[in-house]
Order: sequence, then C-alpha cells, then structure tokens
Amino acid sequence: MAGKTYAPLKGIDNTGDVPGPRTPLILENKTYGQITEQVCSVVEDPKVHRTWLLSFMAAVTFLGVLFSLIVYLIVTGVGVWGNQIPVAWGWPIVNFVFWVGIGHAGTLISAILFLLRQDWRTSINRFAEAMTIFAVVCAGTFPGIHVGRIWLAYWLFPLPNQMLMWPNFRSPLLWDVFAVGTYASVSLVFWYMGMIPDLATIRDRARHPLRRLGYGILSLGWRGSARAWHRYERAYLLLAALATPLVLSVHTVVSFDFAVSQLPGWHTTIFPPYFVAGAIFSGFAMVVTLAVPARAFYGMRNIITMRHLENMNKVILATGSMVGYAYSMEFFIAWYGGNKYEQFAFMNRAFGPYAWAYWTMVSCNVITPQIFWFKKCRTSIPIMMVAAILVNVGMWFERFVITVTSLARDFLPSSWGYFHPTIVDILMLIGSFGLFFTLFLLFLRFLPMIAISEVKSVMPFPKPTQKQPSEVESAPVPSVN
Amino acid sequence: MAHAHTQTLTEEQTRLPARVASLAPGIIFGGLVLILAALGWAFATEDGLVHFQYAYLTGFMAWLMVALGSLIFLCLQHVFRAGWSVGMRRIPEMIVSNFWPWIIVAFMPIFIPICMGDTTVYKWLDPAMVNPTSPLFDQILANKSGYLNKGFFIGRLVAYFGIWTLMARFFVKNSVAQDADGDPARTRRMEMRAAPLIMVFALSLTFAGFDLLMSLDPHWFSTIWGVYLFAGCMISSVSSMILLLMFIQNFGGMKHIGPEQYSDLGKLLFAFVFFWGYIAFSQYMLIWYANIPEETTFFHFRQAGEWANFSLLLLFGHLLLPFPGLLSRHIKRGRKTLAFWAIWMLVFHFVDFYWMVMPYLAKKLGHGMEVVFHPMDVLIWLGLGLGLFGLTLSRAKRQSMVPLRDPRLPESLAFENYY
Repeated sequence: MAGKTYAPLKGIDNTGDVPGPRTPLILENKTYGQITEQVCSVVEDPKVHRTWLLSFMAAVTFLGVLFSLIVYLIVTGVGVWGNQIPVAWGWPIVNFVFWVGIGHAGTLISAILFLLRQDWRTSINRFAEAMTIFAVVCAGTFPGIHVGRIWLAYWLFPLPNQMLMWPNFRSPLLWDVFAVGTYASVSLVFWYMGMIPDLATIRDRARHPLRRLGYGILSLGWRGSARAWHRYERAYLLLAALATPLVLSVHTVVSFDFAVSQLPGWHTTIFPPYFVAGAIFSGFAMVVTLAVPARAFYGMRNIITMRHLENMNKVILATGSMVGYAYSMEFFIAWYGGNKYEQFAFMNRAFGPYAWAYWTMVSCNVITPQIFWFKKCRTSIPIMMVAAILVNVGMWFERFVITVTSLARDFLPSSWGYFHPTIVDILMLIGSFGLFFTLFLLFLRFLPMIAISEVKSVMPFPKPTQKQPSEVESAPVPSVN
Repeated sequence: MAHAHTQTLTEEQTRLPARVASLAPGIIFGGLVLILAALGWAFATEDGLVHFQYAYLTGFMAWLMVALGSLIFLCLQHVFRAGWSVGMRRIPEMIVSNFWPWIIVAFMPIFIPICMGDTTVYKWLDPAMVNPTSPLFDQILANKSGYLNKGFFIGRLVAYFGIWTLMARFFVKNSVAQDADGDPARTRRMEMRAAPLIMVFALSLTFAGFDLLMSLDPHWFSTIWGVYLFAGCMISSVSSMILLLMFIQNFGGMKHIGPEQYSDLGKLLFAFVFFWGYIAFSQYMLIWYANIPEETTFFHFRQAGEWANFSLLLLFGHLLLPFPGLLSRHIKRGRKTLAFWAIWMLVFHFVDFYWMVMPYLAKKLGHGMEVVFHPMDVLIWLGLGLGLFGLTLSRAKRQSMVPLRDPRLPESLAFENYY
C-alpha cells in the first residue's frame, strides 16, 4: 500500500456524528505506510528540536532540584517538611495520592476501553500508558522517602529475616505497597508488550547498526508472523482483563489509607469508588494537558483528532460529575448521620480556616468540568487546556483538603493547628513534575508515541472505492430541536 | 464490521410471536394469583400482615431495580451511541414502559400505608418519636426530622416515580415514533438528553434507596448505599433482558439476536457481578475495620445467629460462585448456560434484598437472630416478577420488536463479537 497516495483531506471535522455511519477516527486519508512514516520519523529524526531540548533542560533542572532535596532530606531528616503534629501527614502523602491518581488514565484507556471496544483509544493509549508509568514513579518516590530511615525502606516488603520482624499486615499503608507495586508492574508489562510490534518496525527501518541492535533487543525477535500476532492478541486480551480490576484496586487501597480510620472526614464508605472516579478524572485531565501540545508539536493532528480530545473531555465531565456526586453524598450523610464530629469536619472544610482550599477544589473539580456540557467548549483547544489544568490543580487540592483539614482539627480543640508547608515541600512538588516531564520527554524522543499497529486497525482501508470522510461529512446532518 | 454477514429482517421476525402474546395475560394472572395467595396466607398466620408488608417491600424493590436498571441501560446505550444493542433495545424499552401505570400501581401497597402514617415498616413515621415529651422520643431522629418526615417523604416518593415515568416515556415514545418516521434526529435527541438524564437518575436512585431501604433503620447510614443499589439494578436488569429475549426466541421471535449479543449481555452481567462485589466489599470492609458502633449495627445483626449463614449465602451466591461461573466465553455464548446464570442472579438479587430488608422484620417481631422466612416471601417475589414479565410481553405486541428504522440497526444486525 505504501507509495500510493491519495489527496489528503484537511480540516475535516470528525466530531459530528450522523447516527448510522461511523465517523472516521483517523483523518487525512493516509496509507498505512504513511502512518508508519509519520510516527517513526519522530523517533528517527537525527535533529534535536530546540523546543524539545529547552523543555528537556528545564525538566532536568527541576529533576535536579528534586534529587538534591531528597539528599538534603535523607541527610537531615523528615523534619525539613512542614509535617508537624497535628498534621503529621502533609504534602508528601498529598503528592503521592495526586500522582497515583494521574497514573490511572493510561491503564483505563488501554485495558477498560479496550474491553469496551472503544476504538478511539488506539490513538492515545501509548503515551497515556507511558504517562501512567512515569506518574507511578513520581508517586512511589514520596512514600519511599517518607519512611524515615530510607536505608531500611526494603522493610516495606515482607522479607523473611532472623529477627522475625514483619511489616504490619493490618496497615493499609502496607497494602499500598502491594497495590501500587502490582499496578506498576502490570502497567509496565502491558505498555511494553503493546509496544513490541512497533519497536520491531523501528528496528526494521533503522539504518545505524547500534539503533538496530538497541531496538532489536527491545523488540524480542518480533517477526510479525501470523502465529506471533495470534499470541500477541491473546496476551493483550488477558493482560487487559487482569489490568481492569487493578485500575479499581489501586486507588481503592489508597482510599483505605484514609477511610479505615475513625477520623471524621476520612471515614466514609463511598471513598473507594469516589477515589477511583477522581483518579480517572485527574488522569484524563493530564492526558489532555499533554496530548494537546504533543499533537501540535509533532504534527499528529490527523491521528489524535479533535474527536479524541472531545471524547476525553466527555470522560472528564462524567468523572468530574461522579466526584461531585461523592462530595454531595459525603456532605448529606455527614448531616443525616447525626454525628456532630462528622458534621463539624465538613462545616470546617467549607467554612473553616481551609475554606479557600475547599472552594478551590469545588470550583476546579465540580464546576469547571460542567463547561464540557457544551460542544463549543469540548472542541476548543484553549478552553480545554485551561479546564484540564484547573482540574489538575483541583485534584491536588482535593487530596490536600482531605488530608490536612481532617488532621488539623480533630476531636480535641486544644490540639488543633494550622499546616504550613516549608520551601522544601513546595520545591519537591515542583521537582516531581521535573521527574515526570524528564521521563515523558525522553519517551517522546525514543519510543513510538502512537501505537502504530493499533491505529492501523481502526483506519478505513484506504481504497479509492471506500467512502471518503468528506462524503460522510456531506451526508445530511439531522437537526435537533 | 465489514466481514460479518448482513441480515435482512423478515416481517415475522420484527413482531412478537402470537403465542407469546396469547400467553402474556396468563402470566400476569398467575402472578396476581401468587400475590393473592400470599395475602391469604398472611391473614392465616400470626403477625402475617406485618410479615406481608416487609415481604412485599422486598419483592417490589427487587423488581423495581430491574425496571430502573433497564432505564439506565437505555440511557447508557444512547450516551455511548452503542451499535451492538440496537437490535434488542426494545426489551428494556418495554420493561420501562410499565412505569405508567403498573409499577406505580404495584407501589401502592407500600405507598398507601406511608400516606396513612402506618409505622409497621418505617417506624420513624411515628410523630411520637420526634416529640420531646413522648417516652418514644429519639434525639437522633429529631435532628434529622427535616429530611425524615412524612410530608417530605411522600413528596420525594412522588417525585422519584414521576421522574422515572417521564424518563421512560421519553425514550419509549421517541424510539417507537422512529419506527414510523425514521427520523435520525430522534436518535440525536435521545443521545443528547441521555447524558443529563443519567445525572437525574443517579440522584433519584440514590435518594430513593436512602428513603425506601436505608431508612428502615433510620439511625444507620452509608454513603456508598446508592452505588450498591446501582450495581444490583444492573445485574438484575441484564438478567431479566436475557431471559425475556430467550423466552421470546423460544416461540420463534427475535431470531436476529444471537450469541454475539448474548455474549455482550453476559459480559455486562459478569462485569456487574464483579462491581457489586467490589462495592459490597468496600462497604463491609470500611465499616468492619473502623468498628464504630453506630455503623456496625447494620452488619452486626446480619453477622449473628442464623443471619450469619444467610450472609454467607449472599456472599457465595451473589459473588464467589457466579464470578468463576461467568468467566468463560463459551458460557456467555451458550443459551442454556447463560440462562442458568441469569436465573441464578435474579434469585440472588432477591436474596440480596431479603438480606437488606428482612432482618428488620426479625428485629421487629422479636425473633432475635432467626431468619424469619415464610413461603409467602417467595410467592410475592415470584408473583411480582411474573407480573412484570407478563406486562412487558403484553406491551410488546403493540409495536415492532425491533427499532426498525434506527440508523444503527444495520450495524447491530451485522455485529460480530471478536473477544
């Protein structure tokens, strides 16, 4: 097929949907060969783009800040953070939950949307999965350095030892180790396995023997035979089925960190699904935040089309509303339950000293996504960028509100306090973005950011007799009254 | 789905088989007889009428969930612009078209006692409980009497059933009208309205669950309650759709539905069995672990005496057995195996509601930790179920059993399930 070209169709609006024929997901009517060329050329380009380099340098700088602060923390002790009684769980756990949440979209897109036959996932799954893994790396950092004696961090694992010392299996923090560990490993395997055919493509196109060797090792001897494809598809399905409950379980266990306690504002039964919805919400917001600049910079607008962005915005609207539902259930039951400590915890959130954080959270997480009821907003790049960033901010604040407000004012007024972050807290949060972006930019440069083989599976076969997107477009659009 | 066979529908396939239509009144009548028999039995038993009220609530709520599940199923199919389900969409549409008048009529034995201030089931309706001078005075109830009071309660119940009736009417009316005019704008309209209606539905289901079930113990509360009921309503409605489809097919109707659609319905059933387990576990786990007395009352009672075994029955029947049972693709594509699990899940859906409601009857009658089972519990449940199925079938003969001119019908007929 490669070599034969058809007139590209530019500027097709594929967000409309005439009931009946399905609107094309991949635009510009390219051939398979052209899609391969388009995605691989990003990795094969010998020139390093200045924008990429500048972003990379900035990211590495912040990463350096994070590393130096980690060294400072280990040398000095966790007292360098603002964690102080009564708020002994401050920003580190807020950052941990925030980053784990970000890491939810990738596996949801690759596993759950796969099982639900949502074909549009193919354009975004690869870099969403990459993002998942990098977010989990960022997340793991915070509890990892919070253990105090970091040289004994391996005690988190139940390793047989001569002292017969075991971790506390009744602690949800230990469950976190297992939940996040399982999630990270399955996500990594899923991401890597899905990439093997594409890595083999890059290997086959490589001119330099070192590249051929590197990508050759990574592609595990993939030959593209029918048997290999058959096994690949089976493994993909099985991994998708295994990863699906993991999408739920990780944030469920993270929610247990709070909800198994007896602290007002933490202990409520809706926490598990509420945290999962919130995680998907923030994860999709991060995918939009990254997809919009990446598709523009690398010229992928025909693969990550407006329809993909619109669909993601719809997911943001749906999950944001679920989060709003959970907020209102918490509030209603706090009143209905009649427990005055619970009632106080919620009144304190909304009208106490942290009201500014609470209302930031509500306006970013519940009110902002409601603009996506309007198609104009769902399909406007500037609006969706602003909304996605606000959602990310709001979801960080959600974890801050949950963690800090409940701890700062518990049962005994004499032990109340107000949390103040230190400069180390602030710089570490910024530094974690450095870690995230460093990894993400390296991924964009060295690995195929689009799942080439999967995208091809949802393309209309480029035959001249095939109905062109332009013809679908010109079909009468029903009016809605 | 380019390589699948495209089917053409014959006139016969789109209509309800005449045998089914002629059977429907008999099924409804059978249901009615069972309920009357239960009522007769109640008169002949000590505390029988009290028992009848609780058993009726159990049975009614279990089947109400089928109708509500069908309603949200329709919303979801439209909002996702689903193609696979178009060929069978009339089944849920016919189920929800029973809201007016029959589901509302069936609700009357619960609603009328509430209006009359009967406190057998909802003890908090007793005004003495919020009267500070009365010996029955309950401070906790007094604090929430702004929500739990008779007038507001009745108002909310009217609102819930009104909302559900209007939602059902909207989807059924547009879908049936499309058979005549073939206007694709109707599809668009349903897609657009379905999204906000999902939010309306979520809130109405949640608060109806708080009102009709959670307030049986007005002190107890759980924020996840609405999600728990949602899981149950998906399980029971998908099971009912599977069984109704198979019933009609046994008489030669709807032959265009095959293993491809059953496979997807089976997957939905499997997914929601798992989801139910997840939500039920979350609720149990958090309450058990924190061990706060005002929350543990709910499980404490269900974990003692005979109720402990009953809870285990629920755990195994509703989750641990159907989960591996529904895993295999062959089971979901096989008619008999899928029918088996659909019936199984409907039975355990009833067990779930029995488990929610009936311990309060045991408490009320002072039977301590005994499971207060009486055959009329099953008679009422069966009777209401037969009534719902019979009414659905008798509705179905009024129009085509296939949304004939839905723009996505060709896609649905050619649908092939790859995994």
